[in-house]
Amino acid sequence: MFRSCLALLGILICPFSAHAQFKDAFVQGVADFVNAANGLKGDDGPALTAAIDAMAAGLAQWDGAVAKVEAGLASEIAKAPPPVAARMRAALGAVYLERGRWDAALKQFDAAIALDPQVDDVQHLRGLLQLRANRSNEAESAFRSAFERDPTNVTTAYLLLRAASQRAQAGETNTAMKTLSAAVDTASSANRPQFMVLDFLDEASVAAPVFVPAAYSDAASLLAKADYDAAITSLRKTVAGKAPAAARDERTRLAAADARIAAGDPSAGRVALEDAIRAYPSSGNAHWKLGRLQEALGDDPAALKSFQSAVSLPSLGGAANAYARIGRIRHAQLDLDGAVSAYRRRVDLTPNDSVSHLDLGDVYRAQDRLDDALAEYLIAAILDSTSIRALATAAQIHAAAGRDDAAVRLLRRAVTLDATHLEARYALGRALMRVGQNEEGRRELQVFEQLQQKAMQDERRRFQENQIKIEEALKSGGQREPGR
Amino acid sequence: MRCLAAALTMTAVIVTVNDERADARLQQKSSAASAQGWITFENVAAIAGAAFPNVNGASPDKYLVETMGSGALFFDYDSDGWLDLFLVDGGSLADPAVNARARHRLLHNAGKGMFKDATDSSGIRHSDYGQGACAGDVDSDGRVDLYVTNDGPNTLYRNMGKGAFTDVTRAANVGLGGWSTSCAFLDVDVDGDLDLFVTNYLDAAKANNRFCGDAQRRIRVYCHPLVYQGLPNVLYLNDGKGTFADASAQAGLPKYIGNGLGVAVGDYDDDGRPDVFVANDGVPNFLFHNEGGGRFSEVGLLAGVAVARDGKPRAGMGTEFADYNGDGRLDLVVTNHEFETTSLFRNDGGGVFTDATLESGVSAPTLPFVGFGVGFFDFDNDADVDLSIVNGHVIDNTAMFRAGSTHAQRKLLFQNTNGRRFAEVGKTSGSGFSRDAVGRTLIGGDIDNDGDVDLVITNNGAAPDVLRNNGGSARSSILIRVVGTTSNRDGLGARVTVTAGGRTQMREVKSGSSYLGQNDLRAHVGLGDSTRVDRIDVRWPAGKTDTIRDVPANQIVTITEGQGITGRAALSR
Repeated sequence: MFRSCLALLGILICPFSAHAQFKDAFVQGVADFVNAANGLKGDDGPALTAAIDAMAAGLAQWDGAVAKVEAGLASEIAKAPPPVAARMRAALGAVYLERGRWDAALKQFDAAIALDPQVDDVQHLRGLLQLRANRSNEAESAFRSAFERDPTNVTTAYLLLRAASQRAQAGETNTAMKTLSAAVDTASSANRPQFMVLDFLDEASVAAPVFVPAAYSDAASLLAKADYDAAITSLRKTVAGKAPAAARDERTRLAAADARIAAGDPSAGRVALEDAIRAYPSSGNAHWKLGRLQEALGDDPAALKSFQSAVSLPSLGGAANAYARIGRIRHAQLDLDGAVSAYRRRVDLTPNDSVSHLDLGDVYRAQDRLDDALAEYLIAAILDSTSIRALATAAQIHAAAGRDDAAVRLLRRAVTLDATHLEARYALGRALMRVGQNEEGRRELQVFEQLQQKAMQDERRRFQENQIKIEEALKSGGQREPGR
Repeated sequence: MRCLAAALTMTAVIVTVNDERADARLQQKSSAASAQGWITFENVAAIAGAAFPNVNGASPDKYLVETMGSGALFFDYDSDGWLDLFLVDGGSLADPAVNARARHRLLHNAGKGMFKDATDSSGIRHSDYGQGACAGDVDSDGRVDLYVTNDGPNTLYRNMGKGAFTDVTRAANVGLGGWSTSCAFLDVDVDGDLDLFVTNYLDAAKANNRFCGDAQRRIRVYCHPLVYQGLPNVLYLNDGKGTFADASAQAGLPKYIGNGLGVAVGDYDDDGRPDVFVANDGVPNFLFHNEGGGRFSEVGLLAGVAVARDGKPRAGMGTEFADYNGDGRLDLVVTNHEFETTSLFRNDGGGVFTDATLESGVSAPTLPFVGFGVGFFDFDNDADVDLSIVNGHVIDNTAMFRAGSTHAQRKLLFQNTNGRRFAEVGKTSGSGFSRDAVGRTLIGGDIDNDGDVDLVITNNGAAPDVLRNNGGSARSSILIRVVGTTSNRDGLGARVTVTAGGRTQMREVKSGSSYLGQNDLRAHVGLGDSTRVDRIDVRWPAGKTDTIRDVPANQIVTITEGQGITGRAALSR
């Protein structure tokens, strides 16, 4: 079902789709455009035009395919018995969903449910659409219906817990948590569940936000909203004007900043990036690069502002990386609500990334939202069955709730994966003692004690080495080391 | 001479009138708060005569000791039934002139929580940089003596009576050098006299001061404790006459090198012998289990209190034992650094604790703060213990390193909601809790004998807060003073169990606790709406238990070992 990935800005990214074959040519055209706009195709004028033409041709091909499906199903739906017609409408809705025709998709899903309330997967898809439209109550209701129909579905269980966070009834929470817990017990890379993503590209395959120069930001915005026809129209207009020259100037300024940073003069690089932002306030690339530089210089408050500016601008993928950084900084600043907001957005974009869930879970835990944290930790352990962090943190929540047997089960797996993991070893020893397995618990604690002593020695040595560096730096002027 | 005598008389009259006015103001505050329902705390330090600024000697050299103190304790040194206050002062390593301004303060409670500075006539003098204090009757003469810890030799003051103290450090053999922090008197070997446990912090003497911070920008900060070497704890055994011998080696203490800051004494495994918990800064905590005969074994890891739930050591500061869930076992709290949360360890019996920080509701509210002093008290007299924590960053210029981080921080008050969880209510508990400060010690005691627990909080480099509890006395309570005869005279280690209104509550009488401090030695027990106590059981350190039945609430009783109630005083309401 997956098509091959595309080279974009020198890295491989992958379209996310179950119906990707229809849109291959269009997506290739978009990738070509992004590469050209960012100066990776030599003389960008002809390359831009060719890319836009490819997008237009690809979109026409795609729309043709959609029309064919519409026509084929239209005649069949009318004469099919309700359960079959329902499945057909669901299939048609999925095609619209892929194309970004959200309202049309929702209509088909609603119609499918009217014909057969038990039709597979439709409530789940409806929930995703409602989420995208920020209709959280409707999304919760859809996920609840989907979960009632299939209480073994891991992704639905998670989405219901998340949508109903802090409002779910105890019975419902328990059932959904049981589904996740059971899935953790049997999780492996072979049966890894997959969340459906409605966005254009699979965020998880992008290492940094994909921006185009500010001159093309209107078109990028339309692309991000799946308004492809309008995007192509906008691009044709823009490319015919002064945009390519402005884009070249923006790229030149960014390249100059890169060169200064690479030459070991980050201050000059910072100034160059700030200048670029003054000239092109909508330059996502400039905000992103400045944020990275500020982050590297330890100026988190400034980096936070830059990353926030970056995510306010349209990107074609990779925004999850910026949200990850915003979440980290806000968490470090103990702006926990802000961190949750950023990490939730990141999870929306990369729901199949285990670490995204873990980071969100950590903030929930810091807020005392233990059920919400557990849901994140469990889904993280399901998505990455080798994640010791996921197993250990989920076990801690189980232990806090008095579910020591469940904690022991997870922690045994964690120490099997990494026998030197301090938290898992310690938590296992304690949980074993609480369930009455004192002998084994003591043995675990003995192992932990040895590991911990070594860790403390290493820690002390690091402090001593740092101290030597600081004192050397005092003589020559350098090195930063906060006290505590 | 006659003129002089007349002038002195006039001065005394003016002082009395002023005190009465101040007292009236305090009473008005209390009544107003009671009418509102939930208790509130007002800082009455200035009115109460306790607003003496702490000299911390903060200097560009960033000597670590400058940011760590100083302590305070409650004791009734003149046995007049009113709780007196001792404030430890710091000093200065950098500037002798600043150091000369440092003065410990002995504040005599002249009644109803109005203090008078009695330092000059007491003989108590500031010597080295002061840290903490603990008090106990070391020579069983009926007068409580005073021990002061320093960055430098510690000092033992013998209470000579009539407000006079004499430095007997040398004769008593307790002038430990180095950097001592918290201390506690306890009867380790249960021989009827008070021994002394002293915890020590770091080898960060003036000559060993290190530069920490940003070398390039020359921004200096107080160092992390792991930059220095830790120190062992010390146990002094009393020969019964107030002379001590260093028994650390035979107790098995020297091999346990920590960065000790807080000490809590409690018989956590209910074997009749006092155990000692040491909160260590940056390395695993110690739980010294008393094996008898003056010997300890360190069981922190096995008991589950050495590290936090994630297996990592924390920056332990203050600590306290108390039974917060009413199961008759001593639980344990330890304050830690920001981002670490305070640790609440629930005693599950069998000598084992569970880190209950997450499920108790203590985690999230303590996450942003650097916690120091801590105490379990029943502030609202509803028959369960609440929790209070004072905070203040170690690094005075912390805002330069983390946006939003502050040196002065707010205090926390946790209301015990159901014996398992706490709700943080500090922001709605009056102006005393809303003011940010660089808090260090927190001690609790009923300074006005009205039946509720008031607080004194020391602030680094500033005057202390005296937080008067307004409204707690709307419910019943009882204050129990214990006097040992066979057991040590202060009854340290006595376990007091009070049953009233269908609830049984336990308190253990203890010296040093919180951080660098000591609470009122009288056991305060909130009784809710009960007007009578069904029974009071006192299990004495010597082993016997006295049971007293049917005691009216709302009074201060003295229970003497083997003699039952030997003194009663009405609450001052």
